[in-house]
Amino acid sequence: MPFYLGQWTGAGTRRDPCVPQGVKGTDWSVIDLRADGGATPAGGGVNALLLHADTPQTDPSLVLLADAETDVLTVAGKLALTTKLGLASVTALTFRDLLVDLMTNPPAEKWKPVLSKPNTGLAEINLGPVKIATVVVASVS
Amino acid sequence: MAFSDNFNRANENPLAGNWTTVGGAGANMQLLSNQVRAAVTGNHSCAYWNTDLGSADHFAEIRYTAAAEDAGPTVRNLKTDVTLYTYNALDTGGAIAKLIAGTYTNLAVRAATWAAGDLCRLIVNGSTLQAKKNGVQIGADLTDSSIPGNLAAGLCDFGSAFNDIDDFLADVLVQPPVRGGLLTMGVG
Repeated sequence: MPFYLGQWTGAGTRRDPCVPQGVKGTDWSVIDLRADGGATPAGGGVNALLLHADTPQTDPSLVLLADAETDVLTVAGKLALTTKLGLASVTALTFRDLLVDLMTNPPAEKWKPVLSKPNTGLAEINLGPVKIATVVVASVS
Repeated sequence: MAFSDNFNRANENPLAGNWTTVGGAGANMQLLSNQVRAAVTGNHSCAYWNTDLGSADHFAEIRYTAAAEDAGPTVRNLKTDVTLYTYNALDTGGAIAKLIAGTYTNLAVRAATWAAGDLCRLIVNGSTLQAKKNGVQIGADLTDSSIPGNLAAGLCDFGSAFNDIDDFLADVLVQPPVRGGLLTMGVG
């Protein structure tokens, strides 16, 4: 159940939709980390995604981050994340920690944080088999 | 309050009444023979129900009238351009997708075998998306945070052919209130 850092390709039309570059197979899902949320195919400054695929991927544009959510991030994985996402550093220990950090407290002017579900008050982060329920603390402006 | 439409009335082009079509010239949704479809093939043709639902956490459902149609229900529709989440039964064997200002992105391949008469429901709750076929979830939950609001729901036809859609239904999700304060445990 591998997880990858990747980027989008495609023109953003129905006939040529934005899809993860190099992805193969018929069962995959992503978390979109484009800065503009997908208003443009290239993402408006950050063209990135986190991919889960049921089968291992071989395209060199996909950087393997973890095989399981509890896997500790490697130095190479963290370097790829800082470069691709424009982060100063990645402090998360595991892939699960990374998902929580990225989706509950994204950098300014990048992708939006996850919303809480009204019935639980918790925000969910889902990627393939990973399902995290977490508290989102609203920022004070 | 639920919104529903069985489209059993006189033909309309564009789809009218409670509906507004979006997508630009030539991209109307039309009502034809008690079903809805794109007025022209080759265009995004979308329509939203004019009255907002009471919450951004809601679902939309449609009935396919043929197998694997290039069409589906939509949620969190922005009324000023084509921004929404959708499920497309034809795309890569079935996919949850989003359009942001008209830019089409596949978020998850959710392959399923669709037949005429199948109900397709797309649910959004917080930042979680689910697709269901005849009440059974297809694939795992999905996270996307790019459309946090919008209270309208609708339907889209992506125009590879004339895809007919029927029996629209949309409603807010039933949300039990969050219980605050201390948890209490009964002693039996």
